[in-house]
Amino acid sequence: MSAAQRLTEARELLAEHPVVDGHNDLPWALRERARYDLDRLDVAGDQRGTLHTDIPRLRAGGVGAQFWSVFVRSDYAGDTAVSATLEQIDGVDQLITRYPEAFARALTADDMEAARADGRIASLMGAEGGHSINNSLATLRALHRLGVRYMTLTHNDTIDWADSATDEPRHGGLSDFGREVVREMNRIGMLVDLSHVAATTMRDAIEVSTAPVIFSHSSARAVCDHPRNVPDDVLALLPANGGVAMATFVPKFILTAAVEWTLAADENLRAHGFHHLDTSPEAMALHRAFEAERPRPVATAATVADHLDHMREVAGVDHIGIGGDYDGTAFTPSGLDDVSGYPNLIAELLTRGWSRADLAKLTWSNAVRALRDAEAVARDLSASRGPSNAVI
Amino acid sequence: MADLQDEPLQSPGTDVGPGCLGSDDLAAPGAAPGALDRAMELLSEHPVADGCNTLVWTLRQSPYHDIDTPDLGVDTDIPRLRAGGVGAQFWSLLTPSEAPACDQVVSDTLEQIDVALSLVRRYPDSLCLALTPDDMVDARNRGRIAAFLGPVPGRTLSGSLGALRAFHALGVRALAPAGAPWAREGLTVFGHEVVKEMNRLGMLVDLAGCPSAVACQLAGASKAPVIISNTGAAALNPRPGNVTDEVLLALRAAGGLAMVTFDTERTGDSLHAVADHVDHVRALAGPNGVGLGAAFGAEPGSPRPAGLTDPSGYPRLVAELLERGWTEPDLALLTWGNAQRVLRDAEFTARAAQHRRPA
Repeated sequence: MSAAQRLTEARELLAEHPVVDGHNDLPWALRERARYDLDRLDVAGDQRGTLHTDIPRLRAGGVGAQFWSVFVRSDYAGDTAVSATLEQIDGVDQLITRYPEAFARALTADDMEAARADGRIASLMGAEGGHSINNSLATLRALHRLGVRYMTLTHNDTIDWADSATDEPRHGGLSDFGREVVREMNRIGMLVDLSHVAATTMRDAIEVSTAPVIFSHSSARAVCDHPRNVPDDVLALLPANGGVAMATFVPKFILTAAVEWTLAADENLRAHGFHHLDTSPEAMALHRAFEAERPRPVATAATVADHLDHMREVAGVDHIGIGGDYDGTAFTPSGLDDVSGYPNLIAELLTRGWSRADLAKLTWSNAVRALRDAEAVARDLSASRGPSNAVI
Repeated sequence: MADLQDEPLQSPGTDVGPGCLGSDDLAAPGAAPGALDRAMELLSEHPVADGCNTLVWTLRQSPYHDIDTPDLGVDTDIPRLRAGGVGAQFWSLLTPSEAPACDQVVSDTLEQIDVALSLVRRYPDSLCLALTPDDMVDARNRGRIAAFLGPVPGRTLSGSLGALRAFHALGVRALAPAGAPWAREGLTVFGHEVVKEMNRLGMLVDLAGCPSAVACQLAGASKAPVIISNTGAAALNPRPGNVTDEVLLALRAAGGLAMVTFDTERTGDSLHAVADHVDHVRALAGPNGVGLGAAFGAEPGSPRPAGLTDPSGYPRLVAELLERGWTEPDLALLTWGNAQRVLRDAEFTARAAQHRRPA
């Protein structure tokens, strides 16, 4: 089969089993670039050069469901973090309301299936970091009522009840309150997302959780040794838990050479007075100047496929998915440059001999099943247990 | 579960009807028995839509109260709401201003909403979450008490409207600007924006606690009628928090509603004193601008006017007003009609605004 034929086959497959993507930071990009003003930044049009994500490219990429991240910066705390999260939710709400022919609000696995049948992109929300709930379980419940269906337990910083993968540990994983947060998430039917958390937190959460967990955007640590990736022993826990690890495309997490390059590039940004995660035009200009001196190692669809091959080996084909992290990262792999790139990944996996049935699990059904199972656990638990009023 | 109690309470107001009016069995001083019968009859058709009850905060402090049965540990329970003829209740989500740490106002308000929603869910035979004026009527027709959430404190909104829309999505239908930086010494540009967005959403502006100048400004800025969820008349008792005649006249002009509290400190210690405040508010704001907002919902201890110590007292106040010559149509406006109209107007304003103004 030629490359063109494989791409055609990938597109056909995606037409039937579209991608559920675990993590997209378009809401934060809309907030930073346009204060959610969709007249200024109309994603129904071509936003290449500005964003990784717009509706035409989501369509071209075969995306059928998107968890929109309602991320707020890790250095936000208290009411600032909560209010900003509410604003992010409000932003997603405006996005869905404005493009009803493209997006369908989805709160359940059934909604996801209905959107697929309708030819619309099921739009779900995920919060990225426990700082968004300000140590308040009622706030967690409010986020759920407002439509948030997963919460990443931490972002880049360790919080009062959970250790992050990229900060000093303070709890040896989850604190007692952290365990209660996981139990309450199980009870209300919010998926526990273990991207960004320390491996100790991953293990603690999987031990406590009676519902499937997800990794909304993390790859395999055995393939690229970065703390943002999932160690093999944790991947091996997923079959028993029922969860899904959604491989991310972020070069600086998945390509060993890019990890080192990024350390130097971040240092360069900081030396010029920028935050190392800044993706403003000014920061990107600095990156390009740095690249001229020191060529940036480029990841490809094959890099992501290497991770997926390994994750499938360790966790099993029923426990893997995709979480690109578009608009949440400065650089993307070649061939997976933006949200239109998913067919290239599927074509690569076809080359490697993945069956259509396995690919359908990867793109669509594993993630839908995880949410459906979490709903069932929640129905069960909420019949026997009232809201938790624990305080930290 | 009342039948499982070891010591049946003597006269806790479990029965509904004249003569079984609750924990204090005083007849309204001076009210003829006939007036009380007429009051009960009137309330069965035009129940009380009360603007303020602080039970949510009390339950957060003492979550063990079961308000399905007569609970003397708190002044509000369902038997006494029933005995008082209450058909709709705004559950205040404000917290005592000293309570939450400064960086927790938003999450604290989400806690209040959470407690209120679980309160409504726990007593589905008696309470019914109300989001619209139709829900209010519907609850009455089904023999439930319509439960409106609000107000939430205006200081939860610092520089953005996302939180406001989140509160609305969670079911909140009123917000009190008092104490918010954008309504402290006059309405800021952002404050005007908040009012516009509340109008667009159909959320009531509650002027309780606002200084007179700001209250008048808010009443003028809002396209929908504003309310004062609990107040006395400053002309009779010039305490802070009581509404001035100037504001009452502004309410009259703007179709707003001032709801009179039953509070010894703000209205005096007798039923007569409360009735005087109701009379005064009606005289200035007009029969379409007066309502009731007793502000019950506390644990025993706060002083209350005799005869109006808990929600079973409303019929006695209505009887007193009948004695004072209030007509039944005016009383129906006082108890139910004005609140219903204000909610309808707010909904109408929202519907009109949503055609013109996206989020």
